[in-house]
Amino acid sequence: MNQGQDQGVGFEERLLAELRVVVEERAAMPVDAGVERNRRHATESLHGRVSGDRRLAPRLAFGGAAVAAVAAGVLAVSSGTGDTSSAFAVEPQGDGMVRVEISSLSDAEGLEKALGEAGIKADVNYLAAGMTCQEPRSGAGGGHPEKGRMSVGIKQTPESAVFTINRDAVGAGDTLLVTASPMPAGGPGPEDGDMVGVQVAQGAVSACVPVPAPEALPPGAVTQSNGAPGSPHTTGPQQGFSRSSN
Amino acid sequence: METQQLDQIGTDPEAFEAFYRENVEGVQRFVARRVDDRDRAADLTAEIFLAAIASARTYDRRLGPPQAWLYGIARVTVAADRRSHGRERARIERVRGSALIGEDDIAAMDARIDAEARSRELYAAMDRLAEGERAVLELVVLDGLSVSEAAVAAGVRPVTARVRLYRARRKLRAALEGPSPSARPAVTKPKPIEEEGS
Repeated sequence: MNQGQDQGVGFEERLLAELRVVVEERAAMPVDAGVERNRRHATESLHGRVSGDRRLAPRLAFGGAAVAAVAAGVLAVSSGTGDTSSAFAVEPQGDGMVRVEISSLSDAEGLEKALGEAGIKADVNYLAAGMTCQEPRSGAGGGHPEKGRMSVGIKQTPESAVFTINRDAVGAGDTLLVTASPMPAGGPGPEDGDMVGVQVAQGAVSACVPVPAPEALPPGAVTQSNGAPGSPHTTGPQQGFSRSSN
Repeated sequence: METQQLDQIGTDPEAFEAFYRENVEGVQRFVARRVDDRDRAADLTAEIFLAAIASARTYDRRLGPPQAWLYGIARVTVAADRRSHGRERARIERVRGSALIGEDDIAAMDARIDAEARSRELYAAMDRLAEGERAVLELVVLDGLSVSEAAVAAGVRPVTARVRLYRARRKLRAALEGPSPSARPAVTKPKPIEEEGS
């Protein structure tokens, strides 16, 4: 409650006034700033992928800026239908590596807890189809890619996504971000497929604020080039993307 | 609002105002069916419209009415807030709804929240469902969307939505009191989405 509010003007009108300012600010941005204005979501349909590669620029720039390492994949996992108890598996290996298998997008908190017990601080977000987390989530601008070089690769089976991560790669104060969402209807990926993005953020991270993703890739994901099916389009350390179908 | 105008709400204040006025009550009720805290509800209402502003061009009119698209944004916004317990969220938002609450707003906001108490009980009971199933059940049972509209909001095909709705109802019924008809939650069905905003 605020004592200084205008009398006779309700919450809805005050909120409208504030939101109009936001829209006016966006309208005043030059056209060239459109990528920033619409960063990560506003230029393409939530439900379909546009042709061309211009969407790659901000995404790859992000991958090199605030994220130490990235791996992402589009999976053929049937989402939301498995029971919680088999939604994931976290298996510490003998060599300091931790194998993580995600078989359905449920029980994010359970996966978070299991990773914590394995010595990896994690923030897991399972979002609705076509959504991703608003970036940046980490204040560690620039980052130290060499520090973040780690063994993380993501691969798909018809039933799950599997990645293996070196426990030491997630240092004190770092957070493993796991972001996943189902493919949107009508999207380019496998029907009923899910996408899983894995990245290490340095320093404190903010809570995930869901926003629509232009082509429904999770934060930090990179995408295949149009002309070379099956060959990942990668930049920076340990980035990759692959797709499998049912 | 004409659907062809929806992609303008991120850059045209007049288009946004029309969209806002059509949907602000629906969004506040949507939030009240899930959140019982006045400040959080106000923050979430602001966040939902901010997300709509930022992503207006993602709307595809071929797939359903604008309100279904907006409810999809609203659902994931509220779900994320629920998971994070609101931490850090208000701080990072451009507009804080809770800072805009005046004394004259309290009665109406609390009344809206009180009226949705039973819906929130059902919302809490859905914790036991898988996320994909929960999404469809929420949108159909709590928000009164048709299955096809819920499919748009959840970003899945209608046939997938139907399957998930069936499974969700079955699981929730079994988890509550067994398969008796009385176990099916009886919530007042909100007005169909077509009647709310257009």
